[in-house]
Amino acid sequence: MTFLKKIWRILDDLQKRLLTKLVLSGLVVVVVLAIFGSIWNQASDARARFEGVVAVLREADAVAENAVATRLLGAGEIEVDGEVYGGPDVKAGIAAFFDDETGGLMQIAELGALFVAESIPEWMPSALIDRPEFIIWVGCLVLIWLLMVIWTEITVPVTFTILGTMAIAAIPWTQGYIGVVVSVLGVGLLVITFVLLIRLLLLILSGLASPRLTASRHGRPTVLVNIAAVAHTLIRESIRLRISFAFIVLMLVTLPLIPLWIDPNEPVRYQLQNFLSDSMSLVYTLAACMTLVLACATVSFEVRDRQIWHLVTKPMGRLEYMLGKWVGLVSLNLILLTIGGVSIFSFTQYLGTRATDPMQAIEVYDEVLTARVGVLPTFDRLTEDEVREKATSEYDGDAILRSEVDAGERTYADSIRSIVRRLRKEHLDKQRAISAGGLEEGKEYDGRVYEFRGLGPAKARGQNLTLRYQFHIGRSESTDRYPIMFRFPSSGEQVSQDFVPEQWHRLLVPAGLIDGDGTLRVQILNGGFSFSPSDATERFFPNGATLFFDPTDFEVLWQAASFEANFMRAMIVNWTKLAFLAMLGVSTATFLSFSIAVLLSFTVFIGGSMTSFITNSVSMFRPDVDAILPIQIVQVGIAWIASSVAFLLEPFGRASPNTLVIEGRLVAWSGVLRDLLVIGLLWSSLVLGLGWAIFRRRELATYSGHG
Amino acid sequence: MMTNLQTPKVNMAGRPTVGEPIVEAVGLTKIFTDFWKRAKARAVDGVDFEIRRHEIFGLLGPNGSGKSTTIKMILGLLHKSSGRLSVFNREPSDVAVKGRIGYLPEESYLYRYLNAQETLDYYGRIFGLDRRTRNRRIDELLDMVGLAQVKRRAVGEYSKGMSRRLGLAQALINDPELLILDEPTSGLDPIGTRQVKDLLLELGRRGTTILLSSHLLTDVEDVCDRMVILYGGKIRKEGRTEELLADSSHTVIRTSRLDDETVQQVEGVLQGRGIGIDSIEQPRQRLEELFMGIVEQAQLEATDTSGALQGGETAAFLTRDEAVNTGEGDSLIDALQQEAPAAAVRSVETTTGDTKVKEAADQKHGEVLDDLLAEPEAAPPAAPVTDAPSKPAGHDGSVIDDLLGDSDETRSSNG
Repeated sequence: MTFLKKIWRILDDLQKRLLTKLVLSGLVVVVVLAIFGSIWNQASDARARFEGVVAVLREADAVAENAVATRLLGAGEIEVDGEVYGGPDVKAGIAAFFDDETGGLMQIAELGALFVAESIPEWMPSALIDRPEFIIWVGCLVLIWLLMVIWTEITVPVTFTILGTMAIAAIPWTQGYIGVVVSVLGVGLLVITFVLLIRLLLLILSGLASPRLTASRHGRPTVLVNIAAVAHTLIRESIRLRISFAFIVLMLVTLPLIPLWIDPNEPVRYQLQNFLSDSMSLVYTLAACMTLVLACATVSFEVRDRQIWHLVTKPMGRLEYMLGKWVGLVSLNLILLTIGGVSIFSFTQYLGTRATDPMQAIEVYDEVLTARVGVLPTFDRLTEDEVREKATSEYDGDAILRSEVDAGERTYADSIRSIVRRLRKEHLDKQRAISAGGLEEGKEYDGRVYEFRGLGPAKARGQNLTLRYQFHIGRSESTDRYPIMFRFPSSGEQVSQDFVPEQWHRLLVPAGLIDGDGTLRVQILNGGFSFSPSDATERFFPNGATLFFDPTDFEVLWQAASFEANFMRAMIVNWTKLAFLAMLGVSTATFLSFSIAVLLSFTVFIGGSMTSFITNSVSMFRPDVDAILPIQIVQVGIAWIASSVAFLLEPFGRASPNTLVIEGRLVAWSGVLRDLLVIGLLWSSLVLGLGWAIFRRRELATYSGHG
Repeated sequence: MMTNLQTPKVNMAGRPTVGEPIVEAVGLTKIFTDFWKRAKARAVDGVDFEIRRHEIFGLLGPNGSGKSTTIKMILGLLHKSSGRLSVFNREPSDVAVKGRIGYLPEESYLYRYLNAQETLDYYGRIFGLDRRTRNRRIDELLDMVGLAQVKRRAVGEYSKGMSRRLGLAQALINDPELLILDEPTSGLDPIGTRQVKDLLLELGRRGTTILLSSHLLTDVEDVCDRMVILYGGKIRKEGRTEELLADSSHTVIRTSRLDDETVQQVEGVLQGRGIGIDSIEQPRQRLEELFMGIVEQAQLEATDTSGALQGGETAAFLTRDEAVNTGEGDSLIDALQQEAPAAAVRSVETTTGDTKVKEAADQKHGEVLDDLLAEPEAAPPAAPVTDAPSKPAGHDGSVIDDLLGDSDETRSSNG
């Protein structure tokens, strides 16, 4: 053991020398350039060959019987820049790829890939051929990563970690469990990256926390210096105390293991969504738990164990102390979200390439790896006069209700309020119900027309839309299928589909069907055309029951942004929420013990995360009429408290970017800014102010005498 | 080394003259209350005192007398219930004054997960020390407290004594004007205790104002200029150490060993003047001196030991001014170099403590001494084993002494 320690010490000293760092840096640059440069060359070459083949294939015309088409049909070959591709194997099936009408080739891209497949190295993924410049980014990233390892003086531990990881991965490798190998390597990579980033953060904070010059014998450092100094120590605390280190290790180890749980037999789209759901929840939840526990512990334990005496008896204001703790926590969260986010993003990109089937690829890139805006149809609402008229008319016509009001069993206000709610709901429900039929013999289409407004940007970009729906029809079984027609009155286009009740369906809609005012008008016909043997014609047969849908079950989606930017915005929102939780933990711990501070903080966190559920539950809550009055009062009190909490924390619950990302929906910049201002700035400031107001007057020493 | 703008005057003992009050308490009271704001305990009750610049002030009292409570009010850890309390003419809670204070609490409440170097670095940053100054002071302090070899070990693995040493180091890192020490020798072995006392004296000579709270009476007696004795939250006694401890009713004459005949002669002379002898006895070495001698011998023999080393030189920045614009401060070396030569060794020491009283007593007993000294000249008296914390025989020559250019003659007059 002593010998190993000696070796370690020698190597440790060696890695800190400037000459060693320079030599290693040079070596790393040369190696990275050589490896990634070679890969880039090969990928670019493959791309060039592919594009050349595609260009030649585009020229093929079987109708005109040009040279390209002739050679293809005759020998299954094409020639590109003096190189011949294809052969007898291609010849056998090439004829099926020609379009009989135009004479041109269909699925040119797939054909091109087929032709160049033999000339491409087996190890090269198709994603690299599609975008060879991607390898440059990867190479730069690897180079920066390696240089950071060298210059932050962790070359030796990183090297040993890599060797150790490879040794562990060798075991499943020999057994053929490639997935486990990748996961083990992923764990090692995440751990090293985490150590590296922590090291960098400590260096940055150390630089900020170092006064440039001792101003005077007893000068006071700047606020920034104090805050950075406290943050610097908190980072050290987070990686040395088990209470927080456990969460960090759990995240770094569990995250690379999630891909092992993915069912490879599922459609790629569901693999992606399951992975995104599990991984983003894991990262956010663990980070939130660690933040709350560490925030409460670091302050309350320092107060309890009196380490804080050493700080407040020095030129450190209590506000600086609190801000320093918060900055440390926010910085730590930034690192965790960066590592988690990059890992998740990288693996989703890899998963996306598994979609080899064109339909699967559409599902993946149009519904998951995207950022769509959802638009619901616009419904008519009752005007105030209509509501007033209908409500009074109904009240006047309901003798039973009037007698209950007269007898004092109900109030007039409550009665009218319930009537109005019901009238409005019924008016909306009516618009979401489609009677059977919609097309009468010889008559115009009389199906309801739904308008989706605000689609001008989609039309301008030429973005295709996805019509997403889930219908209910009568008392149906999940195995039943019903015909339905979507008609676009502006153009007269119509599409027939079969739908299964209670299940989601999609219909791709070209952007050209959007009207000039940015509105998509859709008519739904509750039925379909079937062949009528009696007169050998196709006739419209209505379904046997009314079709209806819930308020959010019929919408149009269009891609407003890329998945990459959307994912980053989601991470920003998560970071903002974690920043608030950090401030909450720090502030509550300034005047509460650890256990109470943690309890309060977790209550706010869980309550905030479940605001929609709480709101719905409270809205349906009624006190138990059979219980005694005090119990009813307590029940009402609890409901009132719950609804107040839900109301106050509603912005926190509304900020759920993970769900949006999983569903391929847009996390808008407006929402991000709103959350930054409300949750990140306003709420955090309020909580900070409250905590500081108490903390600044708190006596940190306790009575330790007798009597 | 930078010459200070102000060079405080020094007294005969080489200490800077006591200056203006930097801590003032008038009617200071602290009442602890329960949750319902009912008085639970009156920890400090109408205390009046002041701590003047350049003095070493002792706060004595049994457990629960209000010492720590008083200190915590001075530091802003507790709020006073009534009365007036100012530190450097400001409220104790004012953050601006904290840069001039160094504090060692009764226990070392340090971060267990940091090592010694990281701990001092953290606190050094908070005091606004730049990197170079900080690193230099950290090295000097760790050498001084004997933790240089274990500076990379986590504080959580330290023994109590090691933690106390580190606590002392962090209290000194900012070279404070006012050093507040609550039970500074708690947890230290006798050598460590000795070194702390020497350090305090050295800092006192340099002009640092020290507030020392302890229930170990010898600690306070050896070091403090002035003290208050608390009991039940009230001051029971207050005054200069010499005045409080003086026994004016007796005279001690210390000579080399006398044979029985000489003793009888002396007794006869005194009886002739009507003075009885209460006792004649062989003086005893202090246990501390014996212990120190044994340890130093062991050190000379290079015997192994684990844990903290026994400490080294006083940190250089504590014994000289650094090249910063101090505005105020002491240059003890400059002062001493400008001072008159050291006073001669006194052959007779009385327990009155006051110079004038000493001179009068000397004159009074001059005749007696003349008689005694009529015999062939005896060997010069050994350096008096006083209550002052002079170094025991056999102790390594102190670097402090070298820096100050002290001789044996001046050292004995510091008692």
